[in-house]
Amino acid sequence: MSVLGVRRRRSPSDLAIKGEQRFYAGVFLLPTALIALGLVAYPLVYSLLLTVRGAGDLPGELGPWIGFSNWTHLVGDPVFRQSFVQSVMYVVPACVVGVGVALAVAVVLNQDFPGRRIARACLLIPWALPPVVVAAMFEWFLDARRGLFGAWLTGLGITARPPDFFSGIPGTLFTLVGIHVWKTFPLLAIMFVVALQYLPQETLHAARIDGAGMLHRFRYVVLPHLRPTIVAAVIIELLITLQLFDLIYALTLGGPGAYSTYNLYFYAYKNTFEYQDFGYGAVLAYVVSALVIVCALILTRGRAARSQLAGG
Amino acid sequence: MASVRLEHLGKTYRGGVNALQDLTVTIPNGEFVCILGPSGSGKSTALKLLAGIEEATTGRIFFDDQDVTLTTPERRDVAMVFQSYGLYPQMTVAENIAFPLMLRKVPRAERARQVEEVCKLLGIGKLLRRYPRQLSGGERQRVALGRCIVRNPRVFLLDEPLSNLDANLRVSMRQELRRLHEILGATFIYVTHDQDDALAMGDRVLVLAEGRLQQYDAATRVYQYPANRFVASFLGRLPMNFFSGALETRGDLVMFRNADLLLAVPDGKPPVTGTATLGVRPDAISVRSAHPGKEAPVGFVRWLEVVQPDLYATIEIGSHRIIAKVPEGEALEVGQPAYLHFNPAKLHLFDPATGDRLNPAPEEAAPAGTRRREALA
Repeated sequence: MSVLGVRRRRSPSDLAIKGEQRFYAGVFLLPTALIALGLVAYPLVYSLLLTVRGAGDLPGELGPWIGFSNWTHLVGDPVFRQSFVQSVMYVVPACVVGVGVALAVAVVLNQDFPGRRIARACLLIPWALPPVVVAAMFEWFLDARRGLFGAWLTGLGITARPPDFFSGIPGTLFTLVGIHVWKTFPLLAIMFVVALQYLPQETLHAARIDGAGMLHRFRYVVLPHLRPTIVAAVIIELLITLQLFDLIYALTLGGPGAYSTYNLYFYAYKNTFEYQDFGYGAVLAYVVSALVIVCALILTRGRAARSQLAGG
Repeated sequence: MASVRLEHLGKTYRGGVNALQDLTVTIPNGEFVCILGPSGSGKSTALKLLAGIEEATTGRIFFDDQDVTLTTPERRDVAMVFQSYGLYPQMTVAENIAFPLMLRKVPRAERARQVEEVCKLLGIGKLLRRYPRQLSGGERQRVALGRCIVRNPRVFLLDEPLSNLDANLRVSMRQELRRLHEILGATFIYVTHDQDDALAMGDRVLVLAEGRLQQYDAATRVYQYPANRFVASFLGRLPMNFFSGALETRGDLVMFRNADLLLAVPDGKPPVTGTATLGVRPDAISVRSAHPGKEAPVGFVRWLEVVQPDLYATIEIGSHRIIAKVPEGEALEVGQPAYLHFNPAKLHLFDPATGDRLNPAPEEAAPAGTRRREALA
């Protein structure tokens, strides 16, 4: 190649590390790499092997090769199908209601009113409470006979008798969704409060001067500004809800009936730790992970959403 | 289109900051007025009050004879261009410009026709389908202007619209704005901290400082006959020279005297004798190395400075350091003696206590507004 020939483009890595330095770099990186491998790759491979071999007799031991029967079992398993459908029944209303409530609360908290700081601080309480405390709280609050909420409803004349929130099918599932939304919306609301701090004031003023009333300003300035945040909030709520477990465990154990409040996550737990079917449990865990990844990919397709997630 | 009248307009923010105090001015219909002041002078507040984004604490605002003090911005029928443009990022150029029309429920076909017309006027016809993030600063500025023009508002408000543009673009956008103003014949109120913007574009300039009106006058007169010491020092590229001294009457002449200077001040009307501050711009003093043949203040050249295309010298006389212009062809050297000549027509006297101008400015030759040519459209 001549002197004037095209020089190879240098990547940042060969600017920093050359020759023997590469060796030292490898040595220094090794511990971290080992830890990462041990924590991520090993469980991943191990659980994949579990699905085709099952657990052996001793803890940590793999069983003999049993083929793909755990995977094919999915197809004909009615409880899997029900758990799958119910996972969707958890996720969709949780995302819609959760993001909606969070947005509304954030808009209110963005107004200037006395006590705003205290209100913002209080917002985080549901998110900070341990799930078991939340479960116990709502068990009392919504109790059909002695619950405060039922007393309110009858007192206001909305219902004749206090409703039973923990016996209906699929009503109980939606009770859980409600409690879950109550617990998780503060996280989303904080995201919206932050995004609202960065509203483009000039554009808002321009819209007012252009003749836009409050609703038009919300529709044409605030909402477009919040769009990436809304996408991020939906993704986060979706991920949290797919992994909903503690409220189900503490409040219904999957009931009433046999499986009416199961989701995939709970079913995976049941198989792994109660039925001790580690192979099938691992298969279900893979299904949940695949769902999470697919949903996240679909929702982050928009460039704006990606940059929002990357930039925090 | 409307004239604008402000009466005792004032704004006090929460916390007691007096952003604007007792502003009373009348802006004739169709005039280009620049509000000029340093940061914190209340110029942006004044514009926000005019737009209705902020509420006045005291005073009233009239468009023609209609009191709009309490009218919301949505109904005030003004248009505003912002420093950072304030465009809608999710809309194309065409949608941005059509937005005010859409809010007014103008039919789609009529909207498209008006948008096209405005874009032709601004030379952005090819950008209609682009988004603001795909445009340069100058192009965004035009879109923001288009969004105003399409409304045909009563008053145009412009908040430092050129400050984000580079120097060359600024100059051409200034001409562009003047051209638009001539075509539209509308009332333009333009806020800036840049004296070049104000003096180049404004029919009149309104100088504010610390929330108070300093001077409201034709653009040329603000520079030539500053109403007080603040205006005198705020305008001009080089700082004005100030001298404190005493005024005396000698026959028909009024003389300014201090330890180092003795100058005749031809102002026609003898002011009260007493102390005064004399202000002289560097370009009203010329320096020569040769003795002019008559009595002249003499000092030493301390240093020389080029302010293209001119050369300025700093001359030391007694306790004074004076910046003065070096005439073309004059060869000065640092450390050499230098003789000063003060242009008698360009001497400004100020009250040392209040800063107000003492020698009266001549009557305005041509009323402001005649600079505006006949409307083309």
